[in-house]
Amino acid sequence: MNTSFSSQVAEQAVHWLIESQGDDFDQAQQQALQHWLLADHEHQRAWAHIQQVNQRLRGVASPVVHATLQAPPSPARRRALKALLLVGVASAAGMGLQSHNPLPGLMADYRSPVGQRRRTHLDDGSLLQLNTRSAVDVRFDGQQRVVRLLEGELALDVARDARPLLLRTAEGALQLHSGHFNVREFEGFSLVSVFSGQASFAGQPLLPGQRARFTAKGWQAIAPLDPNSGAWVDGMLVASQMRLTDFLAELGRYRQGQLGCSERVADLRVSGSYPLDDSERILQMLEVALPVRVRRFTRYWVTLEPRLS
Amino acid sequence: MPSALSSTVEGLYHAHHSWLTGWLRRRLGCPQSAADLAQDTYVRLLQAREAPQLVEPRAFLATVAKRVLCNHLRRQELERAYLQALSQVPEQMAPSEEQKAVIFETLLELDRLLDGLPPLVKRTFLLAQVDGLGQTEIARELGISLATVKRYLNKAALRCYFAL
Repeated sequence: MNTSFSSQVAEQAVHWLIESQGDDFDQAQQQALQHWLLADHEHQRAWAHIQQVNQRLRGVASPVVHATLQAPPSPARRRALKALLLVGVASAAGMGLQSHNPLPGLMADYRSPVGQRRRTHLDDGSLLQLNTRSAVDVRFDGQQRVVRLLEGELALDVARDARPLLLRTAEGALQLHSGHFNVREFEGFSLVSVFSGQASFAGQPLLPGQRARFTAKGWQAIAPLDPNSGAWVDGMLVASQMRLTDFLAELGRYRQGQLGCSERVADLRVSGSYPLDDSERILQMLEVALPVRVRRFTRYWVTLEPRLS
Repeated sequence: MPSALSSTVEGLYHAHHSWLTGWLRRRLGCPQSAADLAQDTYVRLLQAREAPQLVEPRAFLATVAKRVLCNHLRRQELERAYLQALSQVPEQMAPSEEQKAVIFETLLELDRLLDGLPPLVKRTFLLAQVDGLGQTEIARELGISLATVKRYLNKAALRCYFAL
C-alpha cells in the first residue's frame, strides 16, 4: 500500500487526530471532521493510515514500553553517533524509512473497525453483516456475484438470483446457495457455518446445521453447528461452559489492546449472554460471577487474576 | 533496480569488502557480527534510489557502515532495556513469547521513528497513543499545560505517522 502523503494532508490529518482525542471534542467538531474526510479521498487514506498505526501501537500497550524506549544510549553507540555526525550524513541520504506493513482490508469495499459491526444490503438484495475488525470486497457483474472475505467474520443472507454467489476466502472459493451463512477467517483456514441453504466446494456440500473448517483441500472436521456462533449479529457473545481464557480471547476481538488472564484462573468456566457493545461492563460482570479481579496496567492492557479473599 | 546502482555496489564489494569487514571488526570486537553488518551495509546500499557519485569510496562506505552500526548498537540497547523491563513485570502480566517478539519489533520501529525527539515529547506521545490517556490527564501527570501537550503530540505524530 502506498503510505506517502502530501505534507499538507499529513498536517491536517494529525490536527484532526489530536482534536478528536481532546476532552472538549464535541458534536460540531465531529461533523467538521466528517466533512473533512468526505472532501477528499486522500484525507480518508491518511486517516485510515493513522488508525492502522494506532492499532499497532495499542497492541504494545504495556509498562515495558516506557522503560524500553527511554533507555539512554550506551557508551559504544554514543561514540558511534558522534563519529557519524563528524563525517556527515549527506552522502548517505535517500536510505531512509521503510513503510509500515499494510494490514489487509484497509482499502476494502466494506470494513468494520474494532468493536463495531456493519450491516449492508447488497445490490442483489442479499444482507451482508460484518463483525468486529472485518473487511470484505464485493464484485457483482452479469455473470456472477463475488464476495471476498479479507479478514474477520461475516454473516451473509444470500438472496435468490440467477447468478451464482462465490465466497472467496484466503483458502479458496465456495459457492453459496440462497440461505444464511456465517464465515470466519482464521490463520490457515476459515470456519463456515450453514444455518440454512447449502455451501459447496468442488461438488462437496456442507448442509444446513453443519459447520466445518474450509482449507485449500476442502472441508475438514465437519460437525453440528454451534448455535451460539451467530449471536454476534444481535450484538451478543453467548458462552456455555467456555474456559475463561477462551472467553477473553473471544472478547478481545472486540477491544483494542491486550486482554488476558493469569494461568491460575484460565480454566474457570463462563456461561451466559453478554452484550458486546460494552466490553467494560462484561469485565465487571465477570468480577461478580467469578473469583477474579480485573487488573488494568493501562487502558489497553488488561489482565484478570485471582481475587484475593 | 537501476543497473548503474548494482554495478557500483558490486564494484565496491569486490574492491573493499575485506577492508570494510576489518573496519567493522575493530569497532565491534566480534568477527561474526562484523561479517553480518558488512552484508547489511551492502544491502543498505542496494536500497538507495540512485547510484552514488564516488570520489572516496572508503569514506562513503564508512559513512553508511556507521549508520548500520548505530542501528545495530541501538537494537542491542533496546533489547537489553526490553528484557530488563520485562523482568520487572509480574509473571501473570507477562506477554507470551510470540507477543514479546511482536512487541519488540514494533518498539524498534517506534524508537526509530521517534528518534531525536526530546524525551518529554516522546513520553507525551506514548502516554496518549500507546497508553490511551486523555490529554488533560497527561498535562496533569507531566505538569505541563494542555496547549503544550497538544503541541508535543502534534510534533511527535507528524514524525510517527508520516515521517515528517
